Amino acid sequence: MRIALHIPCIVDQWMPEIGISMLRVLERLGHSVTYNPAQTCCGLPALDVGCRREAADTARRQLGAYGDAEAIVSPSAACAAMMNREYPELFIGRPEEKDARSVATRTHEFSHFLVGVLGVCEVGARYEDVVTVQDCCKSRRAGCAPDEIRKLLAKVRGLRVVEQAEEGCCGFGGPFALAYPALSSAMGEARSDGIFRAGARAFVTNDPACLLQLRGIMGRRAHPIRGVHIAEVLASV
Amino acid sequence: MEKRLTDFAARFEGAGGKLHWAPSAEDARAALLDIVKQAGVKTVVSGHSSTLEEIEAIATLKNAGVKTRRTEFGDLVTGLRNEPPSHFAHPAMHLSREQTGKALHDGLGVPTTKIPEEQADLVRQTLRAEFLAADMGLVGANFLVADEGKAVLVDREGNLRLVASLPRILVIVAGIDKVTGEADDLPILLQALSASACGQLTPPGVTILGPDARRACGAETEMHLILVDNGRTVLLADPASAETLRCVKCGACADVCPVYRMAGGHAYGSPIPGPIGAVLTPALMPKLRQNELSFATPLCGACGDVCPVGIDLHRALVAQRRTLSHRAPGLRLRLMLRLYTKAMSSPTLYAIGVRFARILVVTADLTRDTPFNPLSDWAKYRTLPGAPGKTFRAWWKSTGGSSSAGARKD
Repeated sequence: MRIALHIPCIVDQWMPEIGISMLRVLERLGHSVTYNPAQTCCGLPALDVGCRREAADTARRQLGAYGDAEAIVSPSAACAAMMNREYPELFIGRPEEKDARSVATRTHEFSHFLVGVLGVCEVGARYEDVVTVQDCCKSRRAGCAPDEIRKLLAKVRGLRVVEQAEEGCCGFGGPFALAYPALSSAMGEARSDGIFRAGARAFVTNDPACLLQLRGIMGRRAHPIRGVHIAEVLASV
Repeated sequence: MEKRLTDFAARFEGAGGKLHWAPSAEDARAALLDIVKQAGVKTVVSGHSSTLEEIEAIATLKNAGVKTRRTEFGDLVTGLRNEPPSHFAHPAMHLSREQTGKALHDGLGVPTTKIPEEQADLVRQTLRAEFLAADMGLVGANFLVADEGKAVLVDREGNLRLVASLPRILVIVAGIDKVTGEADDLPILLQALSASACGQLTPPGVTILGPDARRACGAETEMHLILVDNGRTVLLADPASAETLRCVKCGACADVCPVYRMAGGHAYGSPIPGPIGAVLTPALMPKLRQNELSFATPLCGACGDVCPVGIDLHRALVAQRRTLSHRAPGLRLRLMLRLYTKAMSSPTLYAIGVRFARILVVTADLTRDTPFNPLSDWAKYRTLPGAPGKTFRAWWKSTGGSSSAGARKD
């Protein structure tokens, strides 16, 4: 399949290894993968502070960045949800509506693309670790089924998955993290406690923003637990 | 909605009820005081209702010299403590049994106990006489059935049945959104409310009554209904917020909300806390100045997932932010958004913008206690990521997108 990568700004600037890992997994599965550096940001930060016009201005510039790829794959559940769910609504009745709909239907969050679209759980990965899953809250809006990450992890050799007593939001939420920093980090602390108590040595997520938040919280702990993106686990052989 | 309201009004008045239309909270208070004055009401027993809180009914009566008594256990306890409810289905859920015992002792003069069953018994003994002596019962309504002109009251303690039947005068205060179409809708609505509010498929207590039923109990009875708009037609007119009026006030969205669970109901500064409150409060209670509650959520979407009447709260919260977008909280956030939009408008500006962001991130730890760094709020509680040697786009350019070139052994 001809696949175009969506590389969120956080991944581009701070976590390029996630993009590289995603590329390696997709190529290992025999797909042709392209990346267009003309893409910048999906526009979610603007929409999240209620600025629809600015969100549309930013989103408009992304519509042409994926050519005629059959699928657009993103390592971020939040960006994928933005492109899936909000792009068509942002451009209703505008000239860009058709392109927006086309991008929306072709865009998939990475783990959902593998399991839900390609029907692949086994990608030939080996990763010796004990991990717990920190599923991004936006996964549901991005069309992910709740067990897709676990299905992928179950096939990784050397990996043990442990469950947290209770799952929940990492507390990031874009502008929320800056507007209510104490509340946001208290939520992150609660998650980080849960991950710690589960007995995991690392947590696996499908969104770079959850990684940013929880790595940031863990960084202030005496015994931080590593955070990895699902693509990094699957790329490892 | 309009037809439902006129249908309801015709049947309710036809059966002998007195209907008062209240375009604003102030009108509702005036109507309430009018009823009290005309009938010479001295004592009132009330049920728990967010609409009563919305129009500040109890405070209004107290100021007018009327003796009031809240009769729902949690509502009574928070009332005795002079604090607002922290949850609209479970008003005193923030209190321990010890705090509850103390509030009852201080407020009602009953012996102190921390055993819930004993507390309930003491309240029952105290309130029974007050139910019998009260001139007027004051309640909200869970539903108003248009085709029958009847009010439906749901409770867990049997208190509403007494409030609605013992005093000579009954006043119901309800939002216009409470009018449902047909009696046929009731079973499903009651089940949705009950299951989501208290985990029971049938509601613990349901009282359905119209003016004629009350009149059958005694010739002297009066039944009033104050129908409140107070911003609801504005919500209804906007497609993005109209469905929030379907809310049955079960509180499930607050129960699952990580912010509510972390911060508690009082943090919202509104008698309707939680995600639905973040949307309804600015519209129904602008006086509270809690317009920016919709920003106090990471938009995790858990609220909409559990809503029994299918309100897309994620969407409603974002729409609420939109109405505020011209005055987003804090100049700093607004400035950052400006810079962001500009930077993301082209790959070149993006490259400049992210370089700038990198400098901010790298220096944020050093400047975290100064006002000069827009990321200081982040850095106060969290570490920031170290900048990698190469960005993804630089890596792609240098390797031509060959994944083997970037392969790293873990």
